[in-house]
Amino acid sequence: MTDSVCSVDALRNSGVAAGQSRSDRLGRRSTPCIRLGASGLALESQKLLQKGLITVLPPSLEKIIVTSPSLVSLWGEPSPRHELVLSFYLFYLYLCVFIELVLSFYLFYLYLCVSIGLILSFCLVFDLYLYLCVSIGLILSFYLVFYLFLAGMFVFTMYVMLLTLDDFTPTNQDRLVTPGLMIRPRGELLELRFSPENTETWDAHAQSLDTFLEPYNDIYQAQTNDDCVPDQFFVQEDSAEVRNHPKRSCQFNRTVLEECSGLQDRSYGYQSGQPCVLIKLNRVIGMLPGKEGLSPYVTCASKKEDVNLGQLAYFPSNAAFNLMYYPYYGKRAQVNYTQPLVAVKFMNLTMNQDVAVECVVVSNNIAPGAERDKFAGRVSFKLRVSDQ
Amino acid sequence: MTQKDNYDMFEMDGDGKGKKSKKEKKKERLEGMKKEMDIDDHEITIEELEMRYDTSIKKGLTSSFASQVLERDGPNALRPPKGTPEYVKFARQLAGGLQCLMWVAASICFIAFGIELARGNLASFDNLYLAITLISVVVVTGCFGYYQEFKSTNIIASFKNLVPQQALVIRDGQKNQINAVDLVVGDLVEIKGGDGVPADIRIIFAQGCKVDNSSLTGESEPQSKTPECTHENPLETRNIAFFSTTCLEGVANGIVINTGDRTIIGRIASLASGVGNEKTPIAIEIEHFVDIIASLAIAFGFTFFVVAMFIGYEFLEAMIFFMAIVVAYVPEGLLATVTVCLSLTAKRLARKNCVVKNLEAVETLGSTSVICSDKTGTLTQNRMTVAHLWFDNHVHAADTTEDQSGQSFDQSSETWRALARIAGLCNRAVFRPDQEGLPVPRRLVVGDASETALLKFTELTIGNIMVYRDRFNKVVEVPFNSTNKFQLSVHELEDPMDLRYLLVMKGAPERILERCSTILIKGQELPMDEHFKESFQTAQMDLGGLGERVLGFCYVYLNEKEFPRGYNFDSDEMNFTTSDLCFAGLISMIDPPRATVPDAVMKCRTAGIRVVMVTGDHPITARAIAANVGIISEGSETVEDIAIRKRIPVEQVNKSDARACVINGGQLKDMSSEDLDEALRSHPEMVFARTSPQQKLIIVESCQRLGSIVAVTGDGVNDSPALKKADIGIAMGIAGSDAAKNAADMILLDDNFASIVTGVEQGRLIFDNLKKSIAYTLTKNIPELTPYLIYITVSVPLPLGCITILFIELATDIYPSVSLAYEKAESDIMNLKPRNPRRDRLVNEALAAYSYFQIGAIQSFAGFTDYFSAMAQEGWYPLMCVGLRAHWENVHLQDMQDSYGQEWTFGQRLYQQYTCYTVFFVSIEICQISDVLIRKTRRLSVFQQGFFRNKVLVSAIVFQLLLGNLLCYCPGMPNIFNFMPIRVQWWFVPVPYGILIFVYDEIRKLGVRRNPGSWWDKELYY
Repeated sequence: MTDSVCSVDALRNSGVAAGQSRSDRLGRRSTPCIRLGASGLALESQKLLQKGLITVLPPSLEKIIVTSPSLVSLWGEPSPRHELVLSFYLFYLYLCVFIELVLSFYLFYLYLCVSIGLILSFCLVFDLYLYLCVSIGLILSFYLVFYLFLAGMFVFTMYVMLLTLDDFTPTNQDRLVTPGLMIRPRGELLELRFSPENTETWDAHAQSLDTFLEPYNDIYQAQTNDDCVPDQFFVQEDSAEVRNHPKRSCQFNRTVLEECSGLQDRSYGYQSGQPCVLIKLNRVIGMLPGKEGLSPYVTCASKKEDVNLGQLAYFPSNAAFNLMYYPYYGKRAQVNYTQPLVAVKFMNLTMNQDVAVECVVVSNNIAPGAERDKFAGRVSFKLRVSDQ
Repeated sequence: MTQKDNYDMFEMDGDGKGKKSKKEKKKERLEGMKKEMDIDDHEITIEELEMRYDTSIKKGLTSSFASQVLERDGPNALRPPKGTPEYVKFARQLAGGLQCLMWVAASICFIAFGIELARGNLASFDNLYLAITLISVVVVTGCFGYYQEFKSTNIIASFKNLVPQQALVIRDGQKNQINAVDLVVGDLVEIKGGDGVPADIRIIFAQGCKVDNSSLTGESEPQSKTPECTHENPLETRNIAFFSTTCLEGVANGIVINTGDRTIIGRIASLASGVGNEKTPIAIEIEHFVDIIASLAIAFGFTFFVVAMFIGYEFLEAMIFFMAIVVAYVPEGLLATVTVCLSLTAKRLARKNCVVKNLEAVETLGSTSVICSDKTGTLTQNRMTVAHLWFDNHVHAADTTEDQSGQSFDQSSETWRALARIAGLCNRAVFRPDQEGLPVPRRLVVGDASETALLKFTELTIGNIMVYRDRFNKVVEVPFNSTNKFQLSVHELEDPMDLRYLLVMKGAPERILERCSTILIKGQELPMDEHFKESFQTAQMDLGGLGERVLGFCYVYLNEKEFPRGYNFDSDEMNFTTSDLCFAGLISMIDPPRATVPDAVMKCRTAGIRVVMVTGDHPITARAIAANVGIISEGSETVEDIAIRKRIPVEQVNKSDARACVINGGQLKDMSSEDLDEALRSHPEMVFARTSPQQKLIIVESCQRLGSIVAVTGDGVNDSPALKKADIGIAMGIAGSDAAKNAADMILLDDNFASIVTGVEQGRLIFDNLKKSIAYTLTKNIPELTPYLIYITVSVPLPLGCITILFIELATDIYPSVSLAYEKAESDIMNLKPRNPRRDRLVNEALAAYSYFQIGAIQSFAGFTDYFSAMAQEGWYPLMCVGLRAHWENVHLQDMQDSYGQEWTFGQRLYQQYTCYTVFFVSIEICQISDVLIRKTRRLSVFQQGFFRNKVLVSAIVFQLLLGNLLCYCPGMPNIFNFMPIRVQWWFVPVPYGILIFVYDEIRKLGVRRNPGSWWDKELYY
């Protein structure tokens, strides 16, 4: 990850420092390399080595691609500028597939011809084989040229397409009309089963919450983020000439979560059978949930009417995602964005009973999610506290 | 039981081979059948015959015995050819090459579905839907093909004559009229002019009996029947009359010797049903093509199975990938396309009077390289017509066209008037009443063929011959008989003042000449000297050499004093002058070729198709007609001609010098199949005469051995085995017998040989157009397959779903691929040689490679460009997509981050995936529009062919776009068919690739046109 941060940050900083407009971006391509410094250069050459390896040995590339969860970790965060180089690789892969197809087809053809030739006479085979070698050589070189041309065309169209993209906001957000809702800890398949006596059953949950909440520590928040005016959108528009970034983010202090902050109760209530579940609203760039100063809030209920959830405690107590955390400007513009959370503490759950909980975000301007998407604007999960 | 008995009769060597396999048995039976049939009923005496059949030539059978025999032998009717049961016909529609591939694919889908179900991670029912769709495609197209076949079968069924035949039988010494089906062996029957012969009959008494054998042997002349055995071959002898022939005149009595299926005609019919149907060339092509597809599918599938295993997928997962690739590779829409294209052509042919019984036969005609044509009724009009006249020492040609549109001869001569008068008066034939409205050549006549010809001829030239005859009162008449070989009649003159009698006579030319002492030249009676005799001989030889039947005509005015009015003429005694007559001229007759035939034969020749005449008629007639219609071209000589010209024995002639060759049945009998092959190879112009049905079959087989695709035309029962054996049998709709129609693949409703040429043209066109359709259909297989391959290897979110593939295959692309069937020919296809079935394949390597690896590749690039655009514009950069599959498809991951840091639920990702499907779909559609445009031609530039000349294609493109829009923007589509309303700009991303396809193909065509025979041409011309 370090190399990507290095290069990307260097790039961004240079952009900011120079105060160049978007249209000048192309001209800046050479600058980051100079600014990388010694360590950066080493990393860059390592990249090149990898590139070299890749060009020499296609299978290794396949390995890399498949074994790594995503190329992101290898190449850093993608940006349109990288895309051109990277799309070459993508294309290369595709080319490999095609050459493989052509080869298998012609080898099959060759095999057929040769086997027929063998039957005819041995003498003929040699001539035939020679002829076929020449003809296949011609064919393969034809296809090489053909695919190289296609490759060029592909890269060109991709490049043109990538030029239309904005680094900071996606072109379309057709699918993200209703933001999703998600819980922490995720548990196993959104099921939280534990028994308070048995530490091992909930230790993982607590640990994941610890990790998740680390950036929310008050000290860290105070260092990086601003203390904003609550109950109003924290709008940071770009001016016409100058991009206004990095954009600031508002503080969301861990202490707001009170009993569920894990500060007082390190077990987040799991040890006492009163589990905390953090609820977060999916980040969507530019989304303004709630209007007229009314923040969206979360309510949780049992999915089945006859099962009683018992008492619930929300933190912050109004169970709201405060408007000051919106709009979100994307991870590139708003690096230290802290996603607001709402914690729900289940105060007295019935023991040894599966409880299906559904939490819904209530807002005066978030459209209800599509019927088929069970996680748009709501989240369902199961809880079970056993006494073993 | 009786049916089984009948069946056994056909097995030449009886029982004792029950252990042999059915096929072997059938083959042996067939071989036995191909030999001439052996019966000796015509050679034994009448007494022996009576003994053999327990009958009497006076009283016939007793009724009780007859009913016993009837029970034993079964009814006297041809068992209808064992019709294929309807369910078998339907099953056949479901079991073609492509269909089998689809069945396999469907079962693979079921297996994949089963595996997924068993493993418990049933993400979607796609595999199940796919399987169901595949099966329904097979069933629906099967139904369609079945319906087509059913419809044409109905047309044929309507030809059947349902009137039961009657027969006059003498049983217990009494004459009874019974149904012909009740006749039994040994029955004594009586036939008279106009009756159909009800069974095979040994003639025991005959008076002037003539039988038309044309449906059985193809002879156009009526055969006289007499009680004497004249030939050892039952088909040639005079004392057997055959079932299904017609008695034209006279009366005869005879004993039934064979009934039902054991009659000669029954045997021929069963010979036909025993002949296996050959596989049509298009079926072979499709099989070849299926082989290519299947092996490529398996090769691809296996490669990616290995790749998937190498990458580290589980075995089962890799197995499912393998199956999915195989399924994605099956061109689901092709079956429908081929069926629809063929039936379109069938429809077009039906409008031109060719009914196609078997859809595949449409193309067969196009690849035909040899047409074996029957003469009588197909090439000729099947009616005797006056062709030439010789008078005034000159040969005059008469008009033989069907519609009297030809040139007539000079009728001003006095001699002509005399000749016409004789022809009109010395004629017993009469028109059937009430036919005034009909054109003369079509009118029905009672009388023998040559008299009919003369009657019609005189009716046309003199006009109103019946009234004319009434004016010359007939006093006495001596009918034609085989000893005299002449026919005469004596008439009063029309002028009441002229009391002389006019004697008119016609007959065999030599016999007439013997009786003449003078000759009429330009109205002048001149003495018959050597000079006239010589020119008479030459004329007679010439006309005879044209295969025409020549009759001589003479007349005399009887002396008024010797033969005053009221003189008692006696036809038996002939108590009047029959010598020293005045010779008027010769008239020759022939069954003339149809007007359209020479032209059609010529067209066949330019199209590289060889026309071989195979007839039952005499060699001379056959040859004359062959020369007349151009089967033997002008200047071509036979071995015999060369021998005569060079005055050397036939043996010394170099056989390869002779272009033409006439072989008659007798010679053919002694030829081995190698000899026959050799003869067919060395002589381009062949005529087979006096052939039996079996020999026709042998000739067809020989042609097929030489690698030709053989079309056989015919009308008679005698043609039916050959019709069946041929690659395409063509029966005549009007003159054709039911047996011929049953055996044929195609029926010419207007009996016009010229329709065959149209058929050939359409067949060739459909072959070319099918090639285009298939190329169009195959192309999109690659852009359908690559998303899956990339999905497996690079782990991007799936770019194209299988339901979307089905929509491309079966909805949007069907109409454009069918519309290519309406494309006009690129060049004059009738000037090309027929395709070589071994070399010119429907789907060749160049077509597959060009479609798959070039156009298909461009299309997939278009698809991926559009796919990555759609992903990137929604927030997923291309590189982000790589390796994304596992997370993307995780149902429980509801906050997956995209390239911008936004979080997506699974449902949102799924809809995004559907958007990708739609975008990929749109890309394929846009490229396919370009594809259909380039497929219009294979060699010519599209600009030369004309963009909008094929209106259907234009409407198909519009339809494709509209359907694409409907699928994208119709509400409810996302959840039903996984189509999303996509942004307008994504329609335009693939456009540059569409343009590339068009430009590239124009370059390819330019290269192909400019450099014929070059490497470019070989590799890129399909």
